[in-house]
Amino acid sequence: MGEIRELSDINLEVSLGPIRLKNPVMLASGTCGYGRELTPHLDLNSIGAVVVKGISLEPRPGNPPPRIFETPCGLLNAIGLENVGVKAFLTEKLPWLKDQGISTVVNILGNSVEEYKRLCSILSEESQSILAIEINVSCPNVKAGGVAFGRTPEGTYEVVRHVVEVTEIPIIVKLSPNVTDITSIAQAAQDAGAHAISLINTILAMAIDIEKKRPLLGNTFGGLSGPAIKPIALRMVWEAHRAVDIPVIGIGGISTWKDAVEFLMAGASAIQIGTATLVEPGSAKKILDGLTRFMRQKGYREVEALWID
Amino acid sequence: MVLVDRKCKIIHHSQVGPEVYVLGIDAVDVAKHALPGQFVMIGVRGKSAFDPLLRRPFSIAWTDHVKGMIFIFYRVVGRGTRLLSEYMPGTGLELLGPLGRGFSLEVSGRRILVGGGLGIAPIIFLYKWIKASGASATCILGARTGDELLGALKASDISLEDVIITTEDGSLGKKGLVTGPLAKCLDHIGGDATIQACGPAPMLKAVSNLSNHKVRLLEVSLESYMACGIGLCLGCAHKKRGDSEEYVHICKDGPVFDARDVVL
Ligand SMILES: Cc1cc2nc3c(=O)[nH]c(=O)nc-3n(C[C@H](O)[C@H](O)[C@H](O)COP(=O)(O)OP(=O)(O)OC[C@H]3O[C@@H](n4cnc5c(N)ncnc54)[C@H](O)[C@@H]3O)c2cc1C
Ligand SMILES: Cc1cc2nc3c(=O)[nH]c(=O)nc-3n(C[C@H](O)[C@H](O)[C@H](O)COP(=O)(O)O)c2cc1C
Ligand code: FES
Repeated sequence: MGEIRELSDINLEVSLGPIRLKNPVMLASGTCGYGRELTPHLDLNSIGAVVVKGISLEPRPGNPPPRIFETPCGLLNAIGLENVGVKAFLTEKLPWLKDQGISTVVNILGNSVEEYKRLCSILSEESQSILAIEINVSCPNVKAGGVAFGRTPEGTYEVVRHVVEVTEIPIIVKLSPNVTDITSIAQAAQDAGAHAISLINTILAMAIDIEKKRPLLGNTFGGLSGPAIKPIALRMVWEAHRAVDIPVIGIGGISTWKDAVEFLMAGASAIQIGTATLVEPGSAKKILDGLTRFMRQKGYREVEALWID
Repeated sequence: MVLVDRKCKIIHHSQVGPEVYVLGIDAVDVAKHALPGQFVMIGVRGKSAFDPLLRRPFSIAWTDHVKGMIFIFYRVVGRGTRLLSEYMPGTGLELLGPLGRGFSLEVSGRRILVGGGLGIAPIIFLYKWIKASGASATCILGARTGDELLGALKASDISLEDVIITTEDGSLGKKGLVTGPLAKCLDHIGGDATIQACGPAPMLKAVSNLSNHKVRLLEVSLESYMACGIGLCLGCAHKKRGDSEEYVHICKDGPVFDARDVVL
């Protein structure tokens, strides 16, 4: 074994197409509020970017409780995309993020192509304070009988092709894992003009209350996240990276810096931390520090040098 | 505002009743800043394991400023609390807090405190706070059995003579539910009274029904599953009162609410 030489000049910056990040660690949508809630625990300027809670055209109240349930090494949630709506986001949430100089990615959701387009046009007015828009395609398409856009390559293509036309802000497409073949969906996003893809969103799941003989979550189904889904997410990131040329952001159960290294080795250019922040609000910084140390010790000068060819 | 997220050492841990424990944690800054009704999130999993994944919420039952400790009063109901009960003094626990909005501290008129089951925890804190400030309150505490209550009262230095006690089996105090003594109390007071309550949902509903229009303010402390405890996940939703479909978030907007604002 060769001598370990510590590097001092590693470069943590990554470019996801036109999106520049100071380091590859981002916070995942729905697990960091609108950023501000986390400030006592985490210096948001120290991480790559914050992806805010999914925003819709109109405010959404969310699902009836119970909304969350713990499963072995996992979290089942059916929040129901509760959010303040794009208007309140722009007037009440974004100004603070802008003032603090925080790299902000806005996650959006809609029930029709029209809604996604309108959201993107509205957000375009604030293009200088939005680093990228992340499109959550896991939402039901009302026109297609409620089948999620992200379930089919066609649905994914349709949304993405329309939104890239209406905004200059770079587009990240967040893929749903609830599909037969992630590679065809990833390719559809690329073909439609996405600048990057992020995956995975939560895995469709459920739990049953055996005393009450009924589904445990108010919404019957929920999304599974946390360490339990990491091996699945890792496999999908590996597959997606090999299927497309655009950058891949790895998400799913990342809780330690070692998990982060695995995703980067699988071919991710950046990662997002979700459930780990809920468990320990300062997780992202610990993961970034661990990753940095690992890269120094092992002599990786830049993030993409971690990729397994 | 002080908010701690770190490992804190267990100083005291004892069983005070069937499946009921008192836990004393070394956390001087939390002890100094905690207010009655606030809670902490406690990590119950061992080192580097991910199961159980989430921290568990517990009310602060009282604080000791001299020793710089906070106390938790809990019942073993599942895996997390079972694991917690096995922690020995001297070991460290992940602690996040103090969290949430507690009870109103300055209120005019008469004051009645009602705690039921493990809901007596924040009520004990509030009662001790009121006494320390030289004010007074009627404190009604209820449990299923007497030994459950005795241990907690002893550990928290509250004299049996100072509080009204009810037990379902009649083994201590009056037999029955807290609503018995509460109803009597309400007969004797004018409208300028405040009730502050914590306990199981049916108890809070009964207290609310009893006190309707008879008091100026009813404050209730609510519970729900929580993932983060700090407003990140929106998992702790509870329905607001009114026709519209709107929710409060227990960890951030509460856990203490004006009973007029929420569905009980
Ligand atoms: C603000 C707040 C303050 C609390 N204060 C106290 C306290 O002072 N003392 C105390 O003993 N408990 C308190 N609880 C409840 C405590 O958090 C739960 O009992 C604990 O999380 C159960 O964990 P477990 O792993 O042992 O049980 P699990 O295996 O998770 O669940 C076992 C059983 O407990 C119920 N349960 C789980 N979590 C909760 C919850 N958050 N609220 C209500 N029921 C739940 C489940 O429905 C299930 O039936 C409080 C809860 C909240 C939200
Ligand atoms: C409570 C909760 C809320 C979430 N809300 C959103 C959301 O609004 N939009 C979205 O695209 N993903 C949302 N997600 C998915 C996460 O961003 C992430 O993709 C997923 O949880 C997997 O990562 P993790 O295992 O690290 O949490 C949410 C996840 C959780 C746990
Ligand atoms: S527990 Fe996460 S928002 Fe309340």
